[in-house]
Amino acid sequence: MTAGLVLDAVSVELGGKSVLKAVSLHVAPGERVVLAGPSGSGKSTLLRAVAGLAAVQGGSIHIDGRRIDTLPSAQRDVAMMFQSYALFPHLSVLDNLTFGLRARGSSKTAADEQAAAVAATLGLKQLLARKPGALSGGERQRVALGRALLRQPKALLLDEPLSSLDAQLRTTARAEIVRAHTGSAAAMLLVTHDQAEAMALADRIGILKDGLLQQLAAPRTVYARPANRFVAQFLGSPAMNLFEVRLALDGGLWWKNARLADAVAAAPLSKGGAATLGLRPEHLALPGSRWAAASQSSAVLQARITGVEAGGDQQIVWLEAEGERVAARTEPEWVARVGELVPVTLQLDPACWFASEGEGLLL
Amino acid sequence: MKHRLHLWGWSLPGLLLLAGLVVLPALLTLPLALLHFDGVSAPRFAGAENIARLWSDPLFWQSLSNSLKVLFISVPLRLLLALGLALLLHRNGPGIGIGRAAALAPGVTPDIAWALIWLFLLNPLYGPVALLLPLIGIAPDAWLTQPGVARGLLSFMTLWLIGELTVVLIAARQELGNDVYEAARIEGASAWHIFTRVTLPLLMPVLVLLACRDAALSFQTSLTPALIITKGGPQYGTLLLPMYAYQNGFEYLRFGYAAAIQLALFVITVLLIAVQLRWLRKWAMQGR
Repeated sequence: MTAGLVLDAVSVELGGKSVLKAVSLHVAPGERVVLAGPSGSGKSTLLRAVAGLAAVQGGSIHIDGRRIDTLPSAQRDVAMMFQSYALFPHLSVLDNLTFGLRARGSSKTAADEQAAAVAATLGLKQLLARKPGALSGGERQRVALGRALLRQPKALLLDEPLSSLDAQLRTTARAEIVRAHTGSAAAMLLVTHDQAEAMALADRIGILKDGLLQQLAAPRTVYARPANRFVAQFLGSPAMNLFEVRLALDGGLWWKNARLADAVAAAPLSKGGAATLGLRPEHLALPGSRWAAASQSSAVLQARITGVEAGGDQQIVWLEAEGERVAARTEPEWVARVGELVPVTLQLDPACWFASEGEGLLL
Repeated sequence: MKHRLHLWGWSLPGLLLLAGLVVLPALLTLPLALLHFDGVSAPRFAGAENIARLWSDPLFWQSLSNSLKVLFISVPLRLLLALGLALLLHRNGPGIGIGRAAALAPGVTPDIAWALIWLFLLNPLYGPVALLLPLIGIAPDAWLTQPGVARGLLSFMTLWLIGELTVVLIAARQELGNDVYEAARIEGASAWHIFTRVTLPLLMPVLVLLACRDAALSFQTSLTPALIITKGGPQYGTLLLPMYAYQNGFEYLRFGYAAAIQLALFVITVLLIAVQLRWLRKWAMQGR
């Protein structure tokens, strides 16, 4: 028996269209797995399949060894927090929180006691008598979270829990979710399209595309070693720069008409071969930038500065080389002169190499 | 501007008809109630005589009581039926359009048409419904002899007039959205729990509104079947307020007195709605 939530080759069809294709994943008790992916990738459908709101056509879902995909929602021991929060507008915060316990036959006093405990951790104590309509967005979000946590379900499903909040609140709410879940034995599966949220919340991130799980790994791994080009471009803002490079017979590295290096120490391609070189913007070092870390293996690209996006703690410098746009990240103090031609150092040590044919990561 | 003129052009005939047939008579009720007028001789000023006479007229009180009895039976039953139908018919699926049309159809059939059909159905000699009545312990001609049975049948007939109620409730149910229902399912609520704790309270504002409207309408829609089928009998058992007004006006030519009855009907309707609004609103606030 595997503890936690286990999806084994789960396939879901909606209206004759295949939305999830044999997705397998495991969320351990107390673990937070975040599913990220573009709209229509099937991430919400996956949550709905676990909750019993979407029928599963293939594969199986188990919680603590008990098969649940054949059970009605109520018997699955899962709780779900909806993007819209789905609070009952006619019930007070207290009644919203205790709805599930009362529906399952708990006495009012027992349910109210449990609600009081959850309300205390989420800072809802003063709001218990109010109706959802009289709450702010952040308060509603906390009530919805509290309702999901209250029954201490084995699996906790959160569907875009923060997308209705403004940016400021989102950061604090993120921390709140982590705090509320810490110490709980629930396997948490959270869906988001916001990559910053995914990175911040996850023990492991799963990237979905077209109903297929592309990669499932720790946030740092998914960011630094994306399994394929799609993942590389989905995570990170701006996205990873991709260069279609060739290794010449004399050992030189070429990108289009630019010779980037005379020799490359560790490249997974043979002389005369081609590959895709992936570099995060922070791995493009601009001359004189303090952020230019040492790299044993490097290459140089002549590029023209076409624009600068200032950020408080960083800046994005947009460059043009060989007719393509390339992004570099520097410290905000670095002075960029638009139109200037600069030598950009490509740090090859942290680089990702993808196969030219197909998508996968080579090194 | 031209567009505006067009609008007026198209709606003017209807508005004129409405003004002539509904608004003007309604406004004339008040002055008419202060007159003695038989439609032949010149009207005489009566002051409050007509209205005072209502107090001491046993038939007025009888008809008021009949009307209220019909209302108290039929309005809650109609709402309940319409709610049930709406909850059956709000989902989309094969054949659902036919179901909705069937629910609406009796409501758009002219009163006189369905009243005549019922007259046939209830005929104690060959009417199919009358012949089924003995199955529930009622003689096929009981509605001709027992006031209570006649009133019950009258209320029963109007249970078919739930098309509009159903349509409004279907729309209201569809407005509620799926999220709260999915949340309730995951939280483990049974169908009954969902109905009493989610659906009913969320639909309550609409139900209150429909109850008021239906109560006001009930006084009027019950006139035709009472007139066609039971003619107020037996023993004044189905003499309803609008019918009593009709008889006074057009059979006994006491237009002033008929207007006074109508005026009383109007006041009672307003009172009834006010009380209902207060009471149901209070209930909607606490009743959970």
